[in-house]
Amino acid sequence: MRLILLGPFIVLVSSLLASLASRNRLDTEVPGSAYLPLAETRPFTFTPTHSGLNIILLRMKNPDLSDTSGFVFTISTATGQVLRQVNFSGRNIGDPSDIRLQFAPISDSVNQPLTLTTTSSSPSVKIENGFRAYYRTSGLSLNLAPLTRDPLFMVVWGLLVYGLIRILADPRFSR
Amino acid sequence: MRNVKRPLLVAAVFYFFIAPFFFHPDIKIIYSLAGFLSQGVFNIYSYTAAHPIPAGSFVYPPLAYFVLGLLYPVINFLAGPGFASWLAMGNDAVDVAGIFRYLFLIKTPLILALLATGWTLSKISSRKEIPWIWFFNPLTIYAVGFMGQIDILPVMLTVLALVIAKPKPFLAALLLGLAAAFKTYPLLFLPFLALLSTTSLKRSALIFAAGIAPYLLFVAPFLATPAFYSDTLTSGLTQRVLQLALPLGYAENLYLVPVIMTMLFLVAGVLHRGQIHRLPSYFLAASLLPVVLSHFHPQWLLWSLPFIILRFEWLSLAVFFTSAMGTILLFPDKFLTWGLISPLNPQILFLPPFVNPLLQSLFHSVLVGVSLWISLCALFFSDRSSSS
Repeated sequence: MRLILLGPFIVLVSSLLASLASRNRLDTEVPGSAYLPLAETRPFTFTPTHSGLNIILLRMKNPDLSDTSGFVFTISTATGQVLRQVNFSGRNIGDPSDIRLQFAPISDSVNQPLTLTTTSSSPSVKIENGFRAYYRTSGLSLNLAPLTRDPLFMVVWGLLVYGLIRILADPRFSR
Repeated sequence: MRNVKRPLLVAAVFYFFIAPFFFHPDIKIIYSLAGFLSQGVFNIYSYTAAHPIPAGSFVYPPLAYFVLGLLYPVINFLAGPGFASWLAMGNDAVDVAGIFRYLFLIKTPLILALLATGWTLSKISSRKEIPWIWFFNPLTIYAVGFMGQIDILPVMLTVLALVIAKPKPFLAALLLGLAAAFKTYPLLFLPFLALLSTTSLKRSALIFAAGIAPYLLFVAPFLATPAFYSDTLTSGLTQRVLQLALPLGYAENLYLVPVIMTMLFLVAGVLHRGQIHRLPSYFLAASLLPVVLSHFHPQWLLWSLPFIILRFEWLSLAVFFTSAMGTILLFPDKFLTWGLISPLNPQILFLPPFVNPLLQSLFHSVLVGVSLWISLCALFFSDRSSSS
């Protein structure tokens, strides 16, 4: 009986660990605190710490999902040279939602100051004053970072599950 | 009482283990709206109509609002300062530091209700497999462990009503009315409880009234609110059951679900009047058939699941679960598939869902077939009582 219960448990844990596998890892996160109209925002400037920058995540709001304006996102160097450009529409923007802008990896992005600019004539869409940048790794790897961001909870949860397993392993429950 | 400690504990380990890692936006939206009770909002329906918010409107009957609203301050305290902000974020807000804590806390009441339901089922039937099948079938794991749907709360009450229906039909009716104040579907059970509890017309009417009363007590303050009708009474199942229709011409349609429910009512009233031991069969059929004959939400299958499991037969169950999960996993909704695991890998939300309407329709057709078979067997082909 224990083996029968253990099998699916192992499959479940393996599946959870497999879901952590990712080719893209977080390079830089600038937490946002407010949504601002595009006209009031300034371009983001940051210096990636890894090569292969390939995804920028912006958080935007499209009230009532009504704005269908066009948007242009650019990544440029300190000298103004445009490295990447992504066009997208207000139709891609929820209220709010993460906008994932993926592009060909910038192989020499490490330690290179970059400027992120989003332009549009949209009258209503707002953008959060923060972003997340990801880089492409060479292969699949386990990203355990999500499990480490709330250590207090992980400890409490682990103790709860361990405690329940200890009770279960008590001989009085194996009859 | 049969030894249910072991399956209960194994289930507790399993569900508390997985709770933090699976996410569906519904429970986040529900708690986001239930939180307004702490701000003094009594009529959530008129409030969201007057103050449109991204979370939308509250689509459940009032008792769901009040119960979750009372739980909200406790959960908010334990979750910490980021909880309210997270609730206000969009459906894909999984890449936040406290996501595991939030999911664990908002699912805990539901897991406890699940465990209570399993314990109650063990009091109904002497078969030792029943708690195991209840806790570890794919539908329960999916709807409660993964999605965190609140349907388990009225399900718990309907199973409790079944336990006490024979000795205390009026109390059972009261429980059904309370369950209906969470989600309306238990009202479908009331006529059958009334017909099968007694052969007296007067007593049947009183039992029915005893069930309707608590439901009306909770909805009465909101009957004058137009948004209450559009958000709850005319949404979800009530609309979808009328979509399976045969055109008769001249703008008239034959609605198949009301046809089947009428037949069920007459079978109960004419053939099985006063036979309370048949109540589980009617709870099964009345909650299963309207669901599978509609474009259902996955959690709706929870309603009939306890009663299906009470009459379980391995082949029927295997076909039922396979066809049900096949139908569900082919819904064109990322949050019903790999989106569930997004707390561990947020980028998975950007994968498109796998869509194949033909395959989904085939699975759904098999589901209807096995559901009809299970219902017919329960109603006509077995007089076996499952009470302990």
